[in-house]
Amino acid sequence: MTQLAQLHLDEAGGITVATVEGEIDLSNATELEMAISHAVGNEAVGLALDLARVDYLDSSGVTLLFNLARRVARRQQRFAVVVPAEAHVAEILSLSGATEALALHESLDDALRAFAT
Amino acid sequence: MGNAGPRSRWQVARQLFVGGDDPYAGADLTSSRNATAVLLALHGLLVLTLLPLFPPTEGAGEAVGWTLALAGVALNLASAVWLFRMPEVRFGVMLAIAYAGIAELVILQLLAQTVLPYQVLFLIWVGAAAVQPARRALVLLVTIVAATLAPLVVGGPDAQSGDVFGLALLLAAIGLVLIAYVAYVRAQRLTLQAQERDARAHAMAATKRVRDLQWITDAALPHAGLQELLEQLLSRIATVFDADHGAILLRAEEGSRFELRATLGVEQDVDAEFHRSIASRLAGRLAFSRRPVTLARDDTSGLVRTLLKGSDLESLLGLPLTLGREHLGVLYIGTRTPRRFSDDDAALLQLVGDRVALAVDRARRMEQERHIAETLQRSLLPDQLPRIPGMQVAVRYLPGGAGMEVGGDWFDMFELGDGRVVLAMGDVVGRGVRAAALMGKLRTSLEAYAFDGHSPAEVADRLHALMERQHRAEMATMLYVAIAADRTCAELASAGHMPLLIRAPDGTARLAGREPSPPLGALPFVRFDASRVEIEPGSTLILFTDGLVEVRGTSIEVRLEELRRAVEAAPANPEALCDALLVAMLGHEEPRDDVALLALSVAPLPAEGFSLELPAEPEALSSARKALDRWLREAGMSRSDAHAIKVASGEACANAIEHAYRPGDAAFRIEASRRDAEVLITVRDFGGWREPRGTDRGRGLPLMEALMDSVRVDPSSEGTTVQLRRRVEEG
Repeated sequence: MTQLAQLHLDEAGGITVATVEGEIDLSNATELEMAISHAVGNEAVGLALDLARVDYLDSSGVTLLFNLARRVARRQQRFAVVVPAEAHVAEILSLSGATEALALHESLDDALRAFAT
Repeated sequence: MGNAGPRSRWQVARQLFVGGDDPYAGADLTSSRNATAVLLALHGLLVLTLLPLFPPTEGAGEAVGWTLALAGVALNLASAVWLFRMPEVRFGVMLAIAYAGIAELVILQLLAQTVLPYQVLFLIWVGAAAVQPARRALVLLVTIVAATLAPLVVGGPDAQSGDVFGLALLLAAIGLVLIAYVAYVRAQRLTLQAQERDARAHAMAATKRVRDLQWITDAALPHAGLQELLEQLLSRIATVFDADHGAILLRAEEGSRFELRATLGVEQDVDAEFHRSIASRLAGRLAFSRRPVTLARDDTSGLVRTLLKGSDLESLLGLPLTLGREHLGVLYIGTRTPRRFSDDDAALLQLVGDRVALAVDRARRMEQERHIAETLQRSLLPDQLPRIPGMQVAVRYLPGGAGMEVGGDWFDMFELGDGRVVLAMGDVVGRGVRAAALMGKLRTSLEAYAFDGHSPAEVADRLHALMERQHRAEMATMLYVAIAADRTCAELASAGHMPLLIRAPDGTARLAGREPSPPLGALPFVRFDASRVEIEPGSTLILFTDGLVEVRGTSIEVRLEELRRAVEAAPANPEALCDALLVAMLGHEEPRDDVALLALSVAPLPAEGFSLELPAEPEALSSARKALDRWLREAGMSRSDAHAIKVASGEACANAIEHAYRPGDAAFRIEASRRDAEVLITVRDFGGWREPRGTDRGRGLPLMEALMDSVRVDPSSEGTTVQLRRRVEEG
């Protein structure tokens, strides 16, 4: 049952775009974190993580976000997370204090625009 | 075999004259009797001829003399006739007749008062003596000579000493020659008889040996397992060789150690070590000689002393079991009574050993293959089916009859990411390692295709394509049933498999999927169709392989109908249902073919709540979530309530999993219940509560508290209970 979530990787203007679809919990958070972090090359400007199509995310998912933010920051790269405000995931992120700590965006376009500034 | 080899003629002759029992007693009676009868008749006639010439009137008067003489003659002739007619006459009777004849002649001499004419007739009794057994003959001859010489001593009427002495000498000489000649002929005949007896015994021994060999190796039944075979062989070998003790040791699969595999006449624990030490010492010697070794206690070699010392064995016959250059093991037999195994025994055991080695080698190979196939099969079948709330599942897997290779029946059950539950069952045509391997491949591929989101027909198409690419010569059947997330219907695809049985809540049963597509790999261009069946809540789905219904000589339609009726008659509970079906369809006999049977009941989740025990593994989180999701949806919960409860419960479950003491067999339990507008979730683990460590790991508890109205953690020595409550909107 490792097919809980699917990861799609893309690249737009030097920014690695990782889109996760499905559910993130204890069983796949570490794998996802490794997969995403390996996908971000040294030459990339930043990482945009699109969670718009994630139905379920628990505290291990939140931990994943913080860990990714730390890894990316260490490499002098920028990090943006896409979560629509109405998504259930947004509530979890705000309850966990991730909203303040991470750059959250309503859509991927918003996130990419933010990188451009 | 005779107690000695063929005896020399000299030995026989010595025995004839000197030895204890007369070896000729009882033999050749008929010819001796005939000879005696003829001689007796001749005696009577000659006396009758002599009587007028030398009348018996001088000694006792005319009347008495004639009466006695004629009575004697009459008695002679009558006895001769009687002797001829007697079926069995002992030598003693003939001897008595001879003595009577001699006595008659002595009386005639006295009656006639003349010696020589009648003494000449002693020659007849010398002849009669010769046909007697040698020792008696000698005694009789001495008596005759003495009777001849008697007139010289007593002083007979006309005893001319020179004539009488000459006659005695002549009689003695003729008698000795005759007796020696008869003895010679008889010795020769006895020797021939002994040789013939020995030859016959030899031939019988050879025949028996061939029969014994056949009988021993009959035990190498083609389907017997190795252990059974070894025990059979050893017990038969011991019977044939009349041994009360024995063992077979085989070299371990790896290394050179010998393992005691079968014993006879051994007190298990006490003697096992002794056997092993005998074997390892014997083994060196046997491997070196590659021939049987016989030992007896009265041997004085060092080997015998070390081997038999400390045991109550008196003799031992050991043999290396070799196949080509390979040294398979050691076989030996022994006796507790003194005995020396002969060269014939050793030669026979060598022949036996060759066959035992072959049989052991074959049985071992078969066992290895079976072991590999079984291990493969076991490792390829799910050892545990997922626990899904509202579903009860029971599985039976019966391997086919003993001695058969394992078959390729398989089954599987898993929950897809979208909440659908897949049941699959299949049967690879063929047996053994190949079938087991292909079965594993199909099962794995099926799961992969299913998780990729393919429909049942697409999964079947892909499996078929896989077989076409990689296993063109093989064929497999498969039934694939995908139960919808809401459990109201199922989609099924069948590739030549037995139909699906559906037992409705009212107990009626029907068959679905009765028009299957061809088996996987059977035809080159096939598209697989899927069909849809409605499932009422409380139904039971039953999947099975042909082993359950196929009986030679009975149409499959008839058997399917029998099975359908058996389902209607059986209890609804899946475990009890499986048991009842096996009894109804197979009786209590071992099935001839492999049988796989799976029964799954689909019940709606009770609105008031459910309880689920799951393995303490991260993968179980999604099962718990799906169950909860379904229950919350059926209970009409709002989406935000449902999501909050799901996340908070997930956190509690994740905690339980992380705190599990022992990975593997640890479990946790989640219970969900609702009273009016309040939902209560209880998560219990059986480990110890661990205070959150570090900022990252500590996010769960605050999240639970933020999402729920109340969170209570009760740590105890038996485990931790977390209670989560949330007031929900009335649905």
